[in-house]
Amino acid sequence: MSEVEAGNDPVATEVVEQPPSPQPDVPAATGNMIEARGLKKIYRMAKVEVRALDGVDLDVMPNEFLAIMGPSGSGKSTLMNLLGCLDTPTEGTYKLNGTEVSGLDDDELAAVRNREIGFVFQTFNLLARATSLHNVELPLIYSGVGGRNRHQRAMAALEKVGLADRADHRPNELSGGERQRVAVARALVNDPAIVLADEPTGTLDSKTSHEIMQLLVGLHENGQTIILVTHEDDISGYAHRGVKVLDGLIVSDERQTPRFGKD
Amino acid sequence: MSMGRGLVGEILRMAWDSLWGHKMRSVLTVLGIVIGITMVVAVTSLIMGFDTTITSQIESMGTDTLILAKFSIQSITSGQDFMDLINRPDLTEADAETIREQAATVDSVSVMWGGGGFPPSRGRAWYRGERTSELEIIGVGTDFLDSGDMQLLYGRFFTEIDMRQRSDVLVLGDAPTRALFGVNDPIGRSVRLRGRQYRVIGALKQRDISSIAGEQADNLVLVPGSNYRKLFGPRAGNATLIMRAKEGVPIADMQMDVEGVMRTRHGLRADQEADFDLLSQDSVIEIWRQISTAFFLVLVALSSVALMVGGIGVMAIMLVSVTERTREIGVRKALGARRSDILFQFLAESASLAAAGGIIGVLLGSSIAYGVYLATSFPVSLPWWSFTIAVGFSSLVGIFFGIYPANRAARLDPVDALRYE
Ligand SMILES: Nc1ncnc2c1ncn2[C@@H]1O[C@H](COP(=O)(O)OP(=O)(O)O)[C@@H](O)[C@H]1O
Ligand SMILES: [Mg+2]
Repeated sequence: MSEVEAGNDPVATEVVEQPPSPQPDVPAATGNMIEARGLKKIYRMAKVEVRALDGVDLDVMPNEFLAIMGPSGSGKSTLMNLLGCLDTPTEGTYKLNGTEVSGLDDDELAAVRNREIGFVFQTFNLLARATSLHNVELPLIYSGVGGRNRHQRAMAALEKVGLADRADHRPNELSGGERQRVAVARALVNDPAIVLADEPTGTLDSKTSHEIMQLLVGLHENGQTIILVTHEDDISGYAHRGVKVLDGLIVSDERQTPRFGKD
Repeated sequence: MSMGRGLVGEILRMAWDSLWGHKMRSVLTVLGIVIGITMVVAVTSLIMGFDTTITSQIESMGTDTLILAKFSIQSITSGQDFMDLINRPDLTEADAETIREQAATVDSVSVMWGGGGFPPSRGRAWYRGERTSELEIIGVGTDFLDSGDMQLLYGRFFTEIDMRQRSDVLVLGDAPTRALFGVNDPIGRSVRLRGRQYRVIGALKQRDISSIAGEQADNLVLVPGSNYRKLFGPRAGNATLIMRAKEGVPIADMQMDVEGVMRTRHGLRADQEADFDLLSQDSVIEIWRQISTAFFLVLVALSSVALMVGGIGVMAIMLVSVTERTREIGVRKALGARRSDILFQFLAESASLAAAGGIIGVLLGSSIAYGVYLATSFPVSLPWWSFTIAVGFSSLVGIFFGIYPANRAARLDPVDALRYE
């Protein structure tokens, strides 16, 4: 097993050596962050077959702020899990930041997640016994960043979300909004290609939700690519592009003018 | 296999957090390991201490000395029928006389009754309300001091006249001399032993081996062999003979010589087994080795069972820990933890859990051994390697029984783990 190190990994090398894809519908050097083609996720139960995703094509350019919307059970989280490399599709191909990831094994996917994806979950998912700083350090630990460098980068990420003074607090000593800020800092700390936020405001009150969304808007303005999953219209209103999912299919995909900007 | 320094630190930190966060549960889990290791360390310390004592006692015998006994640990451990051993002919003063006359390789023969023999002959000595602890009472001949490591400090030893008259006189070991008389002169005092009045005619020097064996080695009193029968009656008929070889005679030669004399005396045919035991320093050490090895094997078997039970406890609690932390595992995987990272995290946890049990066991076990030493002055030995082995072995038990739960954690699907309530 080898250390995962940014800039020195087999996946990145592969990209350089790979000839441009011959497929006509995937133009070479588009610079797309995400290229998904015909993504399907089918759960086969004892009697029924659940088509959670039933053939989804999606392209996302760098620095897009995308909202995936749809009612509960429409397949938003399933799509998110595939885009976040937490899961592999039953069918279809998925190219993330130039790398085809649908054929990778568990450990290779873990390395891709560590490097390319920053997750923000609805329920925060911070480690209860760890301090804010330690929580933010976790992705760095798994990419082999050690010592002072790790500490500095984690502190810088906490500063970005305005919680440097809460570095030594544990999650139970923080408010819901603060916990989600720590989670955002954790998502940012490894400089990911994409921040994936699945219902990040689902458990927050509207004022705190607004604050968290402002934080994401700020990141987007600094060049971060963000994909947001939500079923709330006013939350999707922060994004520049809205993708509607219904019964495992994308039913509309439109640019939109954000209804809320920075105050 | 290389792991970032940060990763090792994280793994150890999480193991510690998890164990410390569940102190009570952790302690209960490792009880089996604690018991197993406590047992090993305590008993090992006692046996090792006992071993040093016994070995030095045996070595005080000297390489030029043979012991002739009716039966001994040698014939007992060789599996002979106990009744056959009891029915062997007693050894007597006359046997000693014959060996002196006929065995050319033998320089001196001293005779003793009791003294480490069977059944044990013990009793307390009294002087004006002061009393000693239980003493080994040994009946001896006039030339007893010629072989062995005992030396006279004050007074005189037994004479032929004492023997013939079965005089009520005794020579005290160093321990009873101190206990009854302190710094005063014991010679000529009247001491009571098993209901009879005796006159003290001599006192022995502290023995060399008492530095290792403790006071026990000096806890003895000598009486004339002829007098010994007054104290212990008919069962005192059997003697033990201690023989020293002539200058330059190899011990094997003396052994053949004495064996020949005794076989003739007991009328044994060439195909009959000897009905006496002839012990050299080496053969006694060998017997002791066999006994202590057997003891260790039993100990290892018993503590293996305890460790096994402890290991299963560790496995059970680790499975609980994995289930409780399913979501945490999902989060770690989402953030980039590989299977091996999760695997090592849980292996480290179960290893530390078991090692903590081992450390507690070492502390308890050595406290018990030290307590025994303080209470009885029984010699104990606490070798550091037994601690290392105890802790190392319990960690291995933890790793072995942690493999299944850790592997289960490592293989969790991140999506399922994150959805786990
Ligand atoms: N592991 C699974 N096994 C079976 N069905 C699943 C599983 N995960 C999701 N589904 C089904 O797939 C569909 C889409 O789920 P999901 O993506 O979670 O929807 P959303 O996030 O939009 O609410 C649902 O009908 C759900 O029941
Ligand atoms: Mg969902």
